[in-house]
Amino acid sequence: MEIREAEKLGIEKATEESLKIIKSKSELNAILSVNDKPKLSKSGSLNVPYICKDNIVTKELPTTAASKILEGFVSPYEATVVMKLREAGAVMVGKSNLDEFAMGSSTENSAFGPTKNPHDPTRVPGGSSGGSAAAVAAGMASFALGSDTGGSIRQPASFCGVVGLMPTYGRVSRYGLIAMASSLDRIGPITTNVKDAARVLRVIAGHDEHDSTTMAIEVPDYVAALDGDIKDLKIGVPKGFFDEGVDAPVAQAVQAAVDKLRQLGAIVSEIELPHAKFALATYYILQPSEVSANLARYDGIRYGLSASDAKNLWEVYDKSRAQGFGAEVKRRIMLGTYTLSAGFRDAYYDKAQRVRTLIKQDFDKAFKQVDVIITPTTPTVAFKLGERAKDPLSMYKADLLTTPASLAGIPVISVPCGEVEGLPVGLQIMGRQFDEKTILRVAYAYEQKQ
Amino acid sequence: MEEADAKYEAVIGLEIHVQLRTVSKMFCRCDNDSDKARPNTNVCPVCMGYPGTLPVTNEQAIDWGIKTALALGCAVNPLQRFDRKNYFYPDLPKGYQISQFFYPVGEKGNVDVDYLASDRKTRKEFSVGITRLHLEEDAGKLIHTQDGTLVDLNRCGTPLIEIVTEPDIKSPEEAKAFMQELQRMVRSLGVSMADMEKGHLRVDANVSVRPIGQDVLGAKVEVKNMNSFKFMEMALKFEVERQTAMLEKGEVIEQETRGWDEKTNSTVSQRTKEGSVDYRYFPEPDLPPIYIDQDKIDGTKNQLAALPAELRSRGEASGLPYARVVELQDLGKMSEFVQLTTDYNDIDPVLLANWITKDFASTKDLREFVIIVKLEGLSNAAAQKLYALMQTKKLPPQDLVGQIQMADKDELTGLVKQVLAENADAVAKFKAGNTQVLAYLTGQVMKKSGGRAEPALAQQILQSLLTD
Repeated sequence: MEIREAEKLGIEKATEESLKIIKSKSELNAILSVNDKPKLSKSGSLNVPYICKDNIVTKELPTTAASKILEGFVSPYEATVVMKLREAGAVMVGKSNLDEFAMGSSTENSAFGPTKNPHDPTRVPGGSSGGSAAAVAAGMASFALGSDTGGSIRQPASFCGVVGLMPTYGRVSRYGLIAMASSLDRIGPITTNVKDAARVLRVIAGHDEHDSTTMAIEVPDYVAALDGDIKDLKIGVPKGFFDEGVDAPVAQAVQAAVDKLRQLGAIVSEIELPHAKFALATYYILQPSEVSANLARYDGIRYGLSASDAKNLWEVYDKSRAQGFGAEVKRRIMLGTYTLSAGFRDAYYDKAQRVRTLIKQDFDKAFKQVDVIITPTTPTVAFKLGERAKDPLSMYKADLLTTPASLAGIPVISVPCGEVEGLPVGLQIMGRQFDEKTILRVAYAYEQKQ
Repeated sequence: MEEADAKYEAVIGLEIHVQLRTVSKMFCRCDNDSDKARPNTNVCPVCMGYPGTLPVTNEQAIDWGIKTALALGCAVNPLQRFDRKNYFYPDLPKGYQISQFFYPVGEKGNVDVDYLASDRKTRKEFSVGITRLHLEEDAGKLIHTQDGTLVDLNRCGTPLIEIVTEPDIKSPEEAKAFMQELQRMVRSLGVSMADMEKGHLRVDANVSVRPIGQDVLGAKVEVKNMNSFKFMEMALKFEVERQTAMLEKGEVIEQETRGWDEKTNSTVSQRTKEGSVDYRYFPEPDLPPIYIDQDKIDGTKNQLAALPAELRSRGEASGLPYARVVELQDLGKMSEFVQLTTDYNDIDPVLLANWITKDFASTKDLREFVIIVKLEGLSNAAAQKLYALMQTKKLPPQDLVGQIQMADKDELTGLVKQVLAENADAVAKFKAGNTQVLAYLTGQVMKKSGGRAEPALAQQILQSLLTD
C-alpha cells in the first residue's frame, strides 16, 4: 500500500485495510504485536499506517527485540523516531518480527518463529528487518521502520522486492533503538517506492538532543530533490562486488540496471575499494565486541526475564541469560567478549578498528571521483528457510556486500531491479556522507525508467 | 615496634573518588542530589539502563574535570573520550560503567602538601605525584536486609572524578594530610561537597611495606571501607603495623584486598588475588570524542582562584603563625583573611584572625571593626562590647565606637571616684605636689576594673578629678 494510496483512502479506511491484511496474512509471521485500536490522528504530513520493527521502543505496544529475555516488556519511554512519526500523523498498527536483537540475516533467529517471504513462503524474507520488509511487500502498511547494522534494512528489502533506505550514521536518532552495535546501528524506512522512502526520511531525520551521535545539520526536502535528471552524474562500479561469492544472474540483473542508468545519461566507471574485501571480517569483529557490552544490561535484575529458579546473584545472571538468549545472541556475546579480552584486543578489536578506517578512506577517495557507487545488495536472492540456519558462516556471508557501507557510515538505498527465477533482486546505491539526496535521485530515476 | 619502624618504610598510593556537585547527573538530566530522595525515585530510563537509551554528557562535569586536573598540576588531554568498563553487578544497570581509560582528563600531576604535625605546632611538607584524573559515572547502592539485598539506583550516573596517586605517601599521617588537602582543594574549586561521611569523597589505599634501602616494592594490599579521615588513618596505621610485624617474623605478604572493620578496629581480608579482573575496555560508541582547544585549557588555568596551599603561604607571609593559619583555613576563613590583609596592608593580622570567625554583617564591617579597635586602642572587653552593640543596633562600628568610649568613661569615672575616696592619703600627697602617686592611683583603678580599663583614659580622668 503506497503512501499515496493510503492518503487517498483516508487514515480510517487505510488503517482498517492495514489491520485486515495483517490478519489475513498472519501465516507470514511478520507481525509480533498488533495495535487493534490505534489512536487515529486526522492530519499531518505522513498521516498513514506504518509498522515498527520490534527493536524500537514504543509505549503503546510491547517491545521484545524478538527475544525471550524481553518477552512482554513495555518500555517506559518512546523512541524519538516513533514520537516524530506520531507528530507527523503516522499511525503505528503493529510491531514487526526480526532476528533476535537484530542478529541475523533471515529472521529465523526470532524467538517467536521465522517470518516468511511473501514472494515464496518457503523462503526467508532476509533479516534482520525481515518482518518489516515482508509486511511492506504484503501490503500490511504504507511503510515500515527497520534498523540496519550490517545490512538489516537493505538485505530484506532486496529479498522482498521493496525499497530499503539506510541513512547516514548520525542522520536519524537512535534514541529508543535497542542497541546491537552502537557504532553501526541505524534506523531507516522500508517502503514500496523511492518517493515514499524520501517522505519518511524527511520526517524521521534530524538532530536529537538524546543522541549525541546525531548531527545538527539541515534536513533537506528529499521529495523535492527527487526531480531532476541524472545526466553526467558519475557512477562508480567497484571491482570485486560482482564476481566472487555473487551469483551470476544477480550480478547480471544489477549490470543491466547500471546500463539503464547509463542510458539516462550517467557516466559509469570502474572504481577500486581495495579494503572492501575485509569488510565482512572486520564487521564480524567490531559488531560482536559492541554486542557483548550492549547486551550486558539484560541481567534479570530490573526488567525482562529473570530466572525463577536462581539461588544466588550469579545464578540470576547465568540462568536468566541462558534461558533468555538464543543461540546466535550467545555466540556473538562470546565472540565479542573474546575479541575485547586482555591479550586479544590488540589482535582483534584494535586491528579491526584500523581496517575500518582504511575502508572509510577507500570510500572517501572513491567519492572524489564518483557521485554514487552501485553494487548488488545481496550476493543471492532469497534463500530457503532452514538452508543456512545451521551454518552461521554461510549466514554471515549474506552481509558480504552490505557491510562495507555500514563500516563507512555512508547512506545507501536498495531498490528492486528485476527478478531471478521469480525472486526479487536488489540494486544497492551508496552515496556520500549525508548526501541521501543524490542516492534517492538516482534510485528514483531508475525506478521511473522501469 | 620502635625498632622495627626504623628498619621498614611504608609505601602508600591512593585511589580517590570525588562526587561532583553538578545540577544533573553525568549522562542524563536527573537531579544529581539524592540526599533526601526515597530509593529509586531519582532515576530515569537512561540511568536505569533501559533498552534503547543513550548517554548525553554533562558539559559542566567535563569543565570541572579539567579545572580539577589543572589544580592538581596535571597535563590536560585535548581529547576527551569515554570508554566502557565492562563488569556485572546489580548496582550497575548497563553492565558497563562509562569511564575514561585510554584518555583520562589529566595525567602526570603533582600536589605539594604542607600540614600541621600532631604536636599542633610544626609545619611539615611532602609532595605527591598524580598518576591520572578521569571522569566516570557512579554506580547505585546495594542495601542488605534480612529478606535479601535491595538495589537503590538513585546514585547511578552521579558524576565522579577518579584520582590515582603515585605511591609517594610514606605514612598514614601523610595520607590523611593529603586527603584533607584534596578535600580543601575540591571544595575551594566548588566542584564537590567532598563530605567523606556522605560518600562524596571516597578513598581506597594501596599499602606495602619494605625494608629501608630496598628498591623493589613489597606486595601491595588494597585497603577499602575507610569512610572518614579518622578511620583512614586508623586503618592505614593498623595495616602498616600488621605488614611490618609480618616482615619481622619473616612471613610473606600476599597481594589481597582488605576492608577496615570499625567494630574490631582492624583490617579484614576480603579477597585474595585471583588473577586481575578483565574489564574489556573499549571506546564508548554512543559518545563522540570532544576536542578541547588549548585556549580553553589555558583560560581555565588562568581563571583558577588561589588554591588552599597558596592561601596558607600568603597567610603565613602576613605574619600569622602556621598553626593559626591552618586553624583559620579549616574554619573556611583563609581566603577572606588573605583578601583583607592583601587589600589593607595596615590591618593587624593577629587582631583580624581573632575576629574573622565572628559573625559580622559584611566583610566591610569586619574590616572597619578591626581597624577601629586597633586605632582606638580598645581593650578586649571594649572590643567585645562594640561587637555586641553592632549585633543589636545593626550599625557599622564607626557609628558605635563613640558610645562604647562614652559608656567606658562614665563607668571609669565612677571607679575613679571610689578609688579617690578610699585613698585620701594619696590624694593629699598629690595635692601637696607629689605627682608620682598618680601612677599608684591609676594602678588601683586598673585593679578595681579587673584590668578592663584603658590605663590612658583612667589616668586622664584621675587627673581631671584631682585638679578640680
